Amino acid sequence: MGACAGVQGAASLPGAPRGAQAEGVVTMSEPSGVDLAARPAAARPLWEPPDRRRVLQLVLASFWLLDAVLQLQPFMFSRAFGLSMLGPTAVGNPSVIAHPIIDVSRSIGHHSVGADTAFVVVQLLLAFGIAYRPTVRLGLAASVVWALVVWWLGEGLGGVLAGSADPLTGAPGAVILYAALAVLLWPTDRGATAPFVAAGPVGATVARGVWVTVWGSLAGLALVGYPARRTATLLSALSIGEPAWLADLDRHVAHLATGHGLLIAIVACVVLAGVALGVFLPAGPARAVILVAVAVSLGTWVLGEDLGMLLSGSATDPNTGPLLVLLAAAYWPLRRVAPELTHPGPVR
Amino acid sequence: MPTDPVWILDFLAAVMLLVAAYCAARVVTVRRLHRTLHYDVNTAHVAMGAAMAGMLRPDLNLLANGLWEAIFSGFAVWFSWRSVSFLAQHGIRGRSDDHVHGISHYLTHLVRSCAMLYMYWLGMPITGSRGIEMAMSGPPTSAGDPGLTLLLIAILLASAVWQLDAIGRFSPASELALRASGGAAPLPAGADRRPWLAPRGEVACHVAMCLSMGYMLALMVWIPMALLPLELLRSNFEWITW
Repeated sequence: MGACAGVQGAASLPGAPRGAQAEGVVTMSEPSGVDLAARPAAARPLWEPPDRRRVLQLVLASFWLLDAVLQLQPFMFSRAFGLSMLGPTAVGNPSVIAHPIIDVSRSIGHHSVGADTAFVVVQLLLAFGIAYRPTVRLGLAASVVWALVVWWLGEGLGGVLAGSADPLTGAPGAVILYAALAVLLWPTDRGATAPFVAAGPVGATVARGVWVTVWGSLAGLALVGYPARRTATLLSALSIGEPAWLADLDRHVAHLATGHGLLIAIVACVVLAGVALGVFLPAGPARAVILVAVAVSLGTWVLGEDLGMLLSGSATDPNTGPLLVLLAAAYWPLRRVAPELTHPGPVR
Repeated sequence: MPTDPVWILDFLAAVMLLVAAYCAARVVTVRRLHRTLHYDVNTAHVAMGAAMAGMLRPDLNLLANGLWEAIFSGFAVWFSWRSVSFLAQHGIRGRSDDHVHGISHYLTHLVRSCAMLYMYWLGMPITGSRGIEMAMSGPPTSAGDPGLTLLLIAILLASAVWQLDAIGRFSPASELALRASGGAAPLPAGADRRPWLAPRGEVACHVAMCLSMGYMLALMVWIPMALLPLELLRSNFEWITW
């Protein structure tokens, strides 16, 4: 980040808001998430409050920290974590995908304490790496690698190839969203007119492509996998190990869903496809679509994912709901700031 | 490495003791070093570190749980007052006179004091000052409100991350440059403009405290056994492992 590398106080920067000058910080036009190294040394602030992208990065770091804490659950130190939780994700996958999963899950099961401790340390380092400004790039890059490895060896590619993926219950897995977010929140800007935060590092076209891929695949999974699963049964099974109020909610939703699996799949597909295409709309309607995406994500998180099963004692992450909300926040259309009001540099 | 995950509890107890000792040393030596610090925050760290070490290892507990509850009630009242007075003086988006802290600084410490009380009220494993002596007279019936517990955990983890992000404010380069620029550097707190005593050390203590407290709160959700005597909690760990 280089946020601490300069020697010129922000108080002397032209264009800095008055309050910011008084505090030795720049708040308006000096986004901490951008590549400060590209600016002249004299113009670099020493420390600046988090801008929009930095806030999203910090939320991502918080999720990694939560994952590290979840990895400390007693269950994760048991053999069952490797043998009963990770191993079964191989089922239904092609052998080239499944065999490494089986091998790794056995190895983790037989060295459960050491393996789980290593997972905790890795996730702590990822969280700290992203949260600490000088190492944010390293943290984001490492999180992409770690997320992809976990998505394969820990989640069996989210069941996508096995035909068991159900977006209503968390497919294709939260961890692949960690990887996508790490790329979309990378602290560089390709242009000065990014319409939303996620467009900064990869450009608006690629960012929109990622959005369409994520939500479009959710729409596709909702419909394609329908014959192979029973949504009501899945929802009912979620109640196991949950607190009474959540288990009651699960049973109630499962009761309502019974016999309406096809209808649920069609409605989910239509809504998710609409969200996928909404990213191409102008800023005003796009904001409405983003709000719909947030509502869908939160609704799915509560009703289909049981709050990521955080209360069950066996969750490894908060599941896709919160990550999809974070993704949506990265696509929130930005208001343009008049150039004369800002300090020269990347403008959102 | 021990093959038994109970070492996590011992490790966290050791970290908490270290935090308590470090913050106590800060309070004791700050004047001699001609520096300044947040006395209330460091004192709270000392108390929380000692109390949590006692929760994690009964033989390290120094005080009866009633005394701890009284202490953390006092901290909760103090940080509530500090929050209210800050709001009255600076507003919700303002910064303190030392240009370092906003309202979140006081609210975070208020939340942590309340979280300590919450754990005591729900009967986290506690011993008396004379050996193992359970604070609870009967079997637990509730692990508290899981929603509230998760909210507390989320606040603590987010606070840890935000503190790490802001740690660059206190780098030596920042201090020197802001002094040279004539800007209002985030350095002095007192009227004598003495610099902070190792502010990054204080942030590190804050992060360690948030993580440990978050984990202990999470234990209450994951294993209702956490409400039972620590020996049972430990045996639960062992049973679930093997």
